[in-house]
Amino acid sequence: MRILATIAIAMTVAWHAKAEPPLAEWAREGQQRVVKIYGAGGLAGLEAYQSGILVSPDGHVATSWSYVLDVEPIVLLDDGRRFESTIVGFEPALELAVLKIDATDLPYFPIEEDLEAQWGDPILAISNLFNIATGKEPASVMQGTIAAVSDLDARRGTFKTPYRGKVMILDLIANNPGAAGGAVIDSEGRLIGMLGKELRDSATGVWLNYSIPAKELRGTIGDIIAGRTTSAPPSAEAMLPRDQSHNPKTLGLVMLPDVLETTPAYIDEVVLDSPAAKADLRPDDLILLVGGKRVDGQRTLRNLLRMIDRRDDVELTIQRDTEILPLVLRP
Amino acid sequence: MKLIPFIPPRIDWLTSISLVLLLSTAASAQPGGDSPSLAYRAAMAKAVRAAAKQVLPSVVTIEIIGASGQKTGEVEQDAPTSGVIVDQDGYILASSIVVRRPAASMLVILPDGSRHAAKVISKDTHRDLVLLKIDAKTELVPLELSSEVAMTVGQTTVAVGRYGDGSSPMVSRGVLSATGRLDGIAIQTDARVAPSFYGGPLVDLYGNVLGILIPAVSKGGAEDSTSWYDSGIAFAIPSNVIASKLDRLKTGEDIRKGLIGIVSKSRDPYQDETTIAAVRVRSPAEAAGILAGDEVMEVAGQPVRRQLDIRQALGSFDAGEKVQLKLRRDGNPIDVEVTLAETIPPLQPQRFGIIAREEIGAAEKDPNRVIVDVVIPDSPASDLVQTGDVITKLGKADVNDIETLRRLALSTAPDVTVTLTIERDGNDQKIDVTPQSIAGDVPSDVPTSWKRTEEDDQTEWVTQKIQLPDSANDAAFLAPKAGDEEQTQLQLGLMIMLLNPGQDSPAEVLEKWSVSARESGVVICAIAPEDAKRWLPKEMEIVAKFATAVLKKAAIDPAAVSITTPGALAAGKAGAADSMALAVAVSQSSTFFGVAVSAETRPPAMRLSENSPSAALQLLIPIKSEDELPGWAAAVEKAGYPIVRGGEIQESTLLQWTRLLQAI
Repeated sequence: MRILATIAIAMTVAWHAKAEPPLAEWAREGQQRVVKIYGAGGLAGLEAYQSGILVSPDGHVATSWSYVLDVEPIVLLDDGRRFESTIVGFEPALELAVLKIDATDLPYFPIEEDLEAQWGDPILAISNLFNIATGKEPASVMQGTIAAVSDLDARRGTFKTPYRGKVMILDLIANNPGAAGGAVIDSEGRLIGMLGKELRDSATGVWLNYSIPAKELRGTIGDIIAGRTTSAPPSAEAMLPRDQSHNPKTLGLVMLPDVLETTPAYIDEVVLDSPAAKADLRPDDLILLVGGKRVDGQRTLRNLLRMIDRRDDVELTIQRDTEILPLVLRP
Repeated sequence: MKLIPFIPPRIDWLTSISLVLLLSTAASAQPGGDSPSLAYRAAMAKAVRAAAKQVLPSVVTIEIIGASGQKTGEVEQDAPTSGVIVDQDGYILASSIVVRRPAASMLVILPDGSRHAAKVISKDTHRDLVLLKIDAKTELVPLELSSEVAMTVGQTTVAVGRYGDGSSPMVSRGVLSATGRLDGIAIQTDARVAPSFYGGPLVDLYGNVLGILIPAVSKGGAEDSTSWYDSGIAFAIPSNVIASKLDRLKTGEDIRKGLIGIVSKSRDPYQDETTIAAVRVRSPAEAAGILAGDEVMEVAGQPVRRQLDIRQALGSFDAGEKVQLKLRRDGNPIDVEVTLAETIPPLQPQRFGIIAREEIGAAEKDPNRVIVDVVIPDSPASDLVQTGDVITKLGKADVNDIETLRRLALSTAPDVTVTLTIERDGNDQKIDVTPQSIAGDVPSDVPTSWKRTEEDDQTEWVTQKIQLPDSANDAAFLAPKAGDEEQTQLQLGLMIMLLNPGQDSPAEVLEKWSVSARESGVVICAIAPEDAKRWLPKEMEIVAKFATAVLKKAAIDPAAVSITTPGALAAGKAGAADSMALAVAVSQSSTFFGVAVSAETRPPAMRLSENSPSAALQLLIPIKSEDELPGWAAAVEKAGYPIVRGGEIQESTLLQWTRLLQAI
């Protein structure tokens, strides 16, 4: 049955494929709602420009929170008009800032509430990447697909964004210098995301092409425009002071001497009557995960334990020979 | 990969719009309306998801825990990648990236989120695939690897993988770019393949598996096999090939590329020439009875015209597989079956001690003649062969050019007597000669005719600066003054000398060599690094270009070209130039036939390719006995490079050895 359905869909596509239609209609509308932002930078290879999205008819511009905004930025509209802007609010946890320019009756993107973007959906990314567009030249339009919708890999210390929500991974090279703050729109021309800053994926080490979903930003943009103050959501992963957090010792673990850059988290000894002993941890067990997060070596293990209050339980996943065991250590 | 702002035109999105539909699109293309545009895109998105969902139950994430060693390239050594379940028993196929570095553990995350420890069962190093096994109690959904999948270049393809902490499905759409890539082992797609996709399936819009994605670049295309991620050039091993190899992999048997052991006559792989110059000792070709002089007509039923055709036709065969070859011998076609091997014993290059020249045939149809010019004293040929002899055969193989004779000699088995057929004073004669290994002590004597004293040699040698258009290296060469006719009949040698960073200028260094160079008949070119502190990898090619440029300035035999350093001399010390010289010699092996460096040289970080009789390189180091061999020498010998022991190397030793590189 499912195969039949697939074939039916594939045939629909095959029929339409003769005439893959142009995207011009949405592209032009999108360009009119994307602005060029110029601010601080220009030194040490940092670009002094990025992109932004008009989110109200009265000149509110959503953009990426970055060093470019260290000075009051200049905003250039699609029609070439140039404005000085003020920063009306920002939310570092979402990598978001909202600017205001003194203009009215502007074309803008409403941010719809129930827009569910899925992997496989086609998109257009519109931004002033590489500052190609100047003056009244419109922003650049690129096409692609949402490759995946996923959480960002949250390994601490290696990832240079505080954002921890869902992201849309794109299958085009969208996140280039100046693209941050640009718009990602769906095949009906609706805003579904904002391009993020250039980042390397901490897990694979390669450049990431991603956008933050519009619905994650919607509430905060609304609050900032309405003048309501927002506070950053408490970060779940703050390091605790050493005397308040867990470490291998508090759990009764003696690890293999940490001599390599990434010494695997093998247990060397288990202290009698410790939480580790009670959970039946044994020498030569390899710790794979702490609280669901991958442990690539002993340094990561120590860092992950630093985020757990000494009074709280610790969830471990370990490997013993070929067995994978989930365990809970109770202090 | 970061790309410059360049958006490749996508043919399927922008062109091929039929007129009728174009009109209807224009009529109804109002934003928000039910335009065909919307319907098309929605249908395509659904089709891509449906195709991916066909295979996603079989797509897993492979996690590497506690990987050790340095990363090469951009991709982290423990990057999570994808894999596919291939049967109910827990066999999982992944790409070779999961075994690039030793790791404490390898985990497979099934689509239900459960983690399982994986064991490596076997590797297909020829195709960059690895077979893993897990013990899962849950029901597994194996991927259907069909032995017959229709593939048309240009058809839509979807790369499928999993990404991130939650193993979210990930897709990328493209078209099939080509088949038969990477010497016939892979298909190619323009879907953007990020490292997370490696090991995942490439499917068509119906969800049929076309292949499994691997990290790969074309031969010499980039330093690391992952360098082309996200570039629009990605490779997959076709599913029918995997289907046919899977049983063999499940038995735990590794699969490797199959080697044959023929040495081609042509040095240019694109030339219309498929004659075999020599057959490697104890190789599959020898076992199958292939002889030097045979001409290859067909490989596995495919007609071949060039050396490159042969390489490509053999490219997809594994060690242990049989290949049918059609050859032409003495004008008659013959068929042979060769069982390819995993390895061929390393080359142990041999020589007789002859320096020959080639004489073009009298009439246009006559073959060239190889005439003995000089016989090296105390060599295997010294009492048997005379100046003026014409060599017509070595064993059964006809000889009518020097390069063929050289390749035949180099590939001869050590300590085995062979028959040379020569023409002397108009009569054919057969001479039995036992060749000598090039490895061993450096020859101590040079031919009498090469010995020149100041009295009988009136030629003037001068030092000149030399510059290349694209380099800023300071370089100078010492050679006979241009236009001196007396030298042209002598086959001079060429020694490229790399200087250490911050040393004297090339012209100053050459001053010390002016007498010995002239006495030994060896042109010297000294090159300083562009940077005052180090030699850079990009200079490897530049050094070879200097050699090519100097070759044109004097009557140098192109086979008597060496690369040396001040560290190779008895009083010398190892430096940056020594590592560089080794790297240049190995990577530019068609230019250099000898390399002399200090025994304390730090070996350069590069892959050592096998020494081949078509561009054989020898290594001279200042040691007296085998006990003094440096640690890295074993790997060098294993790759078939003969090591010549120079003892206390003097300037004259280095120069004579250089000139003698041309000896066969």
